[in-house]
Amino acid sequence: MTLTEDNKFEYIFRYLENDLSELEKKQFEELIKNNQTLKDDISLCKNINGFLKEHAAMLEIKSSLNEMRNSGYSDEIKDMVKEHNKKLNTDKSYGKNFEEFKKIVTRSKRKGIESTKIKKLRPLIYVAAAAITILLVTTISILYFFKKENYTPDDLFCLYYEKYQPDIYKRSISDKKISEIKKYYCSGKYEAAVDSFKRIENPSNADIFYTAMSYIELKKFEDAAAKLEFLLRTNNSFFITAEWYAGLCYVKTGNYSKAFSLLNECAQRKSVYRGKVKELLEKLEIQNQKQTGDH
Amino acid sequence: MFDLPDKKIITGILKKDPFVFKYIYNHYFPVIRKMVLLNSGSEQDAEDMLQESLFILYNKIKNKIFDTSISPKSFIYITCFFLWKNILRNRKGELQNMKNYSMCIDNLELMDYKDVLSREYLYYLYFDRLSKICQKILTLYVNEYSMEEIARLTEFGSAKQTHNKKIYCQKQLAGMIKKNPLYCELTI
Repeated sequence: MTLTEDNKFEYIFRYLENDLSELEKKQFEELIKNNQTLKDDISLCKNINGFLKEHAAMLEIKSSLNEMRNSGYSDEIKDMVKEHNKKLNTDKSYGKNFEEFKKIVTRSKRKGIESTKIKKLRPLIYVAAAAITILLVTTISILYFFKKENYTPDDLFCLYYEKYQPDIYKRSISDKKISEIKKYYCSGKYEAAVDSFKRIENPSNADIFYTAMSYIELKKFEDAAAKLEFLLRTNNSFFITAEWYAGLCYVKTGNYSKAFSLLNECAQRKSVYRGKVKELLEKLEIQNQKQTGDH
Repeated sequence: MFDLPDKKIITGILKKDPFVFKYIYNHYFPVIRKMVLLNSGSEQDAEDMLQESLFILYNKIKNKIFDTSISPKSFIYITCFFLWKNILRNRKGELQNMKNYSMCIDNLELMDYKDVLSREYLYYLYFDRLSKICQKILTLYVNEYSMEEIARLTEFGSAKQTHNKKIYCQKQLAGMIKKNPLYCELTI
């Protein structure tokens, strides 16, 4: 390996990302040992990576700002903001409208959280009152949603899918293979995760699960559903999560009957997904009724 | 990353659809939150910014004066950015001490070297001088998009080609920063 001014930073960034071959890595580490300038350059690259990560949000905003500036829209937004601030202080009805709007937005955000809380049993009279209220609310909701725009399978998936965030990655000698797939998934290398899975003879449940999650990120929903269904054949720690994501895969592929059956099961269990499952089932029910009505 | 089409978001906001608001919270709030926290704000400040920007957007859509060629996501981000900048300006002149470089991203070129107190400024300055494609690839990369997704969004080529381009962009950024004589004198 020969390091030049031209290729030095390339090797450093690839080294930091663990993207060098074993031989290259060994040679590179030998070079670092007696080269203070190279050590300083590695430190610069680490700082740059750290900066990019820390300021990811600002960079995304900057990129939006550039987009706006190209279309000459950023000054317009500046003016809108000024006008908004002025109106908030001077126009009472504008302020009132804003407060009402805020309530709706805040309620929307909290809806899912509240519905996941496990409620205690109340005396009979409260239960009866609650039942009547629920009946009324459901009827109103259904009427309300009937007026709303149609949600395609894609829309429903986008509204409910959140990338699975695993616990902190732990490495041990005995679970080297498991860690490899999980590691690829965590670093966004989904193709590599799937390839790695294909090489394993006896995959563990975690291998199957992270491969399924990688398939979702690669938009291969049928493959993902097949892997998740496999996890649903036995009782394991991924069961509920697999049920939720498999349900979502079926929603995405438009297989509502399968989605219904899985999500209905999922709604019976106490889990972090319960609130979302119930909401999604409501929407699916409406879409289903609409489809039936259309036919 | 799976995105709801802009058209659906616009109609959802107009109809005050709770599901669309929730989608916005899940997908846009993390960036706004990070921006505010990074620049002397709190979680509550971030929430206020999002609600205000949504209200401004709602009024634009309702009055049929929203330019649909602009993505609602960019609109919300930039509105929050300007809203927060105004607040910082009013709060004990926090912006004047020039430590909040990230809040100066809209006019970095106007800042004088003598005002520079941190390497952070150099990072922002040279990031700004990268090509558009490099900026886009690096932004998507740090926002945890996969290489496959970045390749698709930037239409650059295969995931492998995009990965090589990303390394090239990082290399270019490091080279430019290192060449600046101020780099060694400054502390992070």
